[in-house]
Amino acid sequence: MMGPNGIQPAVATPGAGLCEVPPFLAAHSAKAGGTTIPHGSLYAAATGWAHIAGTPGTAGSLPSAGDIPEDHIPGVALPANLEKLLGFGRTFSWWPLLFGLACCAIEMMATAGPRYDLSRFGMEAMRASPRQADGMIVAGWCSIKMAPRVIRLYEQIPDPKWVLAMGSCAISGNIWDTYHIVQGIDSLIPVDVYVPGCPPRPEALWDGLEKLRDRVRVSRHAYDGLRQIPARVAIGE
Amino acid sequence: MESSTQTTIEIPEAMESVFAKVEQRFGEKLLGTSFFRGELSITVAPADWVEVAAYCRDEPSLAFERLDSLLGNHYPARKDRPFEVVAHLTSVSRTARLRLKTQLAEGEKAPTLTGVWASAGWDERETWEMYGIVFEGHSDLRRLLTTEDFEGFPLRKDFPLRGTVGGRIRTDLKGKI
Ligand code: SF4
Repeated sequence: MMGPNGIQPAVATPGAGLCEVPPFLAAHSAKAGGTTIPHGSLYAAATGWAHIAGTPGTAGSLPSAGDIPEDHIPGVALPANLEKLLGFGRTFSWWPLLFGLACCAIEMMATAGPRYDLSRFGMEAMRASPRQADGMIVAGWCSIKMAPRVIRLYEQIPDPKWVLAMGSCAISGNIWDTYHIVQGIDSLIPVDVYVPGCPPRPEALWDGLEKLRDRVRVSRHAYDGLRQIPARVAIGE
Repeated sequence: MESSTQTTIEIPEAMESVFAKVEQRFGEKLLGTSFFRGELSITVAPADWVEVAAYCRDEPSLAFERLDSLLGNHYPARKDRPFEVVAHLTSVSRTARLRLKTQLAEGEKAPTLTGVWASAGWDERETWEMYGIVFEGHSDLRRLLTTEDFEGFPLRKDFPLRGTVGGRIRTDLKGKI
């Protein structure tokens, strides 16, 4: 599913707690050559820019009424160039959620500290509210009791969002194949970049964040093409 | 290893006086005593548990004002009383530590320390959750670290080591978190 200039079109998911990406949204976005932005998302473009982009004569266009399924969530397309510009901007202002689960979080703090200094990349503003964050670094093991909270935090982050799984625990549960640990956070939420290690050195996290920035630049998301967030299946919704 | 270090380390005088004081007060009721690396552990019967703890807190020359932690242990090899509750006390004013222990049979209840230190409530909840040791008189014995519908007591030695058994991700938490 590639867009006009080789960029995989991003699909923004409905903002109000739903994380399912309906396949028709993906298709319609590919056709329009841009990003579909549903209403209700906190995305700045959701109202003002989207209408400008959607007016006749510009690159983005609204799908004709016949294409739209009944359960369509209203949205409009952004032209690919504007998407590129947004991606460029986000690359230098990606704000992670201020959120650590276990020992790996210490290395994440070290990365944010003056020696490694995440602020060089515009990432120092770790937001304490998921509503202001652009994604999360899952730093450490996630216990079964914590899992619903992690899912909740993930779903409160407005689209577009990216997730980095830091450390063996977040990736696979590490040695904790025991009664209380989720065996890999990707069984619950879509993960963009995996950074192995126990714990990964700040350099490794930094490298992972660089990989993440590559994805941010071209608006690729782990949830692209997913029909359902795994967490929703896991908790039976 | 334990015994070799034990012989080389001197018992600090401060601990000697603590032990003398407790022994003078309770005498026969102390079931066992051990020094390890300068720290004193005293074993008492469950029936004397609260009394000894309250004495250690209130007696001015002991003054163990603080309960550092309270935890459980499981020794399956010890058939008659496999469970143990351990309380770590700290005296901030005297810079001293004391360990109190009591041994329990399977299914035997331990009296709660919440009347002596309110903070024991959290630790007793966790000890109950992990070992199944019931604390009599505890007002709110609910699971703390595992989900509420968790089955089994994970830190018992007969609990399976591998596999996410016993609990699952809650499905009925909508609106609660
Ligand atoms: S990967 Fe290692 S350092 Fe990171 S949370 Fe797991 S045990 Fe801790």
